[in-house]
Amino acid sequence: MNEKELLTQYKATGSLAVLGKLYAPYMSLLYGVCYKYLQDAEQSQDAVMQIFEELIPKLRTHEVDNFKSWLHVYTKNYCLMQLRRDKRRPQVDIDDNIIESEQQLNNVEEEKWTEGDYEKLENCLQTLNKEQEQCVRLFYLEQMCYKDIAEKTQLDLNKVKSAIQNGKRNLRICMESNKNGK
Amino acid sequence: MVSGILGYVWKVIKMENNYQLSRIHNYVHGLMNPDDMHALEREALEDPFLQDAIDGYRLQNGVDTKQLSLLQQRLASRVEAQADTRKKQFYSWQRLAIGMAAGVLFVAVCTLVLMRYLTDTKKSDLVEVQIMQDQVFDFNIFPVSGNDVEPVDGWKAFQEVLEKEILVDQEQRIEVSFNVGENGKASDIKIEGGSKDTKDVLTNIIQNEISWKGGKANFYVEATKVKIP
Repeated sequence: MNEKELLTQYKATGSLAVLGKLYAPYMSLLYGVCYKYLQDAEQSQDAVMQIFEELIPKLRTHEVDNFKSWLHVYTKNYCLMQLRRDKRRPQVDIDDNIIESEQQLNNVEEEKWTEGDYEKLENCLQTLNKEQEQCVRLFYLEQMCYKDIAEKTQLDLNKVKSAIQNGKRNLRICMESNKNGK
Repeated sequence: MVSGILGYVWKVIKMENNYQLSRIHNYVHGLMNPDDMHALEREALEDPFLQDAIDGYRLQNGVDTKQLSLLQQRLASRVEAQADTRKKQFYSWQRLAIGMAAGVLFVAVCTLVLMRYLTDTKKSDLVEVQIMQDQVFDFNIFPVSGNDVEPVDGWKAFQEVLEKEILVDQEQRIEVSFNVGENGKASDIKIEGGSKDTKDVLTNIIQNEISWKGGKANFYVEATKVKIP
């Protein structure tokens, strides 16, 4: 049974066994997400269980299309609310989160590329700043990992990560504006 | 049964999870080769959920499988708690159903017994009445002088018809005389004694039910009570 069928079945029966089947595969990822925000093992475990409790009534009434990304956003919001309630400032990089949220919105299916598109890509790559261009080339074209890129470019690992994320975003914007201008 | 299936499901999930988890663990601890690291990083760029989780485990300095299996256990027992209450509810419904069936059966049996009892009482009433009226009378026929008739089928047949058809409630003597025609039919029937009913019935028997031979009839019928031991 796939997720969609499980969701439908749960909506119809309210059986926790079904919801458990749906939820369990994500628990370890959810724990990681909760830890990122709450930074406490016990609180994170409780959060994972509490989110499950909240899903019990919610998933019987809500229509959810993409369970995985819905669950991710729900968990994130749950943790941020928790932090707000505890009057602690979230110790996360806001930039990173903005980028990731945008990625989620722009999660469109990839189209097939033509010869012309590759030329455009080369042009767009040259519009990026040097750091971003270098990191994106190394990551996407040379298929190197962050660590190796950091060593090669003498940049900090986090800097490499955000250069790739921002470079990717700028590249997308460049490619799309070119397409529209055509 | 439920817990068995759940156990199996958890195991399968665990195996799939373990793969992803061990990747995260190895990545966080720098135990992966560059190609695998690149693959995971690329996946994470497309999957913010995975990226968040990796960030979290990096902050925690790796994956603690004990914590995670504890979480799986907590979920499993939460799920089973509902399964148990459902089972309990199911059994209580079952019990209720059995109780209701038993109730219906009980009422049905009571009704049957009561009906049986009621008809029995009616029957016994009837029996009582019969006993009160149960005075059986013998009818004996005594020809007197001047009588030269007899029934074609004999006196005994005539006597049996009388016993079957005439109802009397006391001993009595009924005197009968009539003439017999050539066709064997009685005419000019005279009856003395007995009630009007008895007279009518007796007249009808003599006239229509019995064929006679002879000329002039003159006899009496005596109804005597049969003593029941």
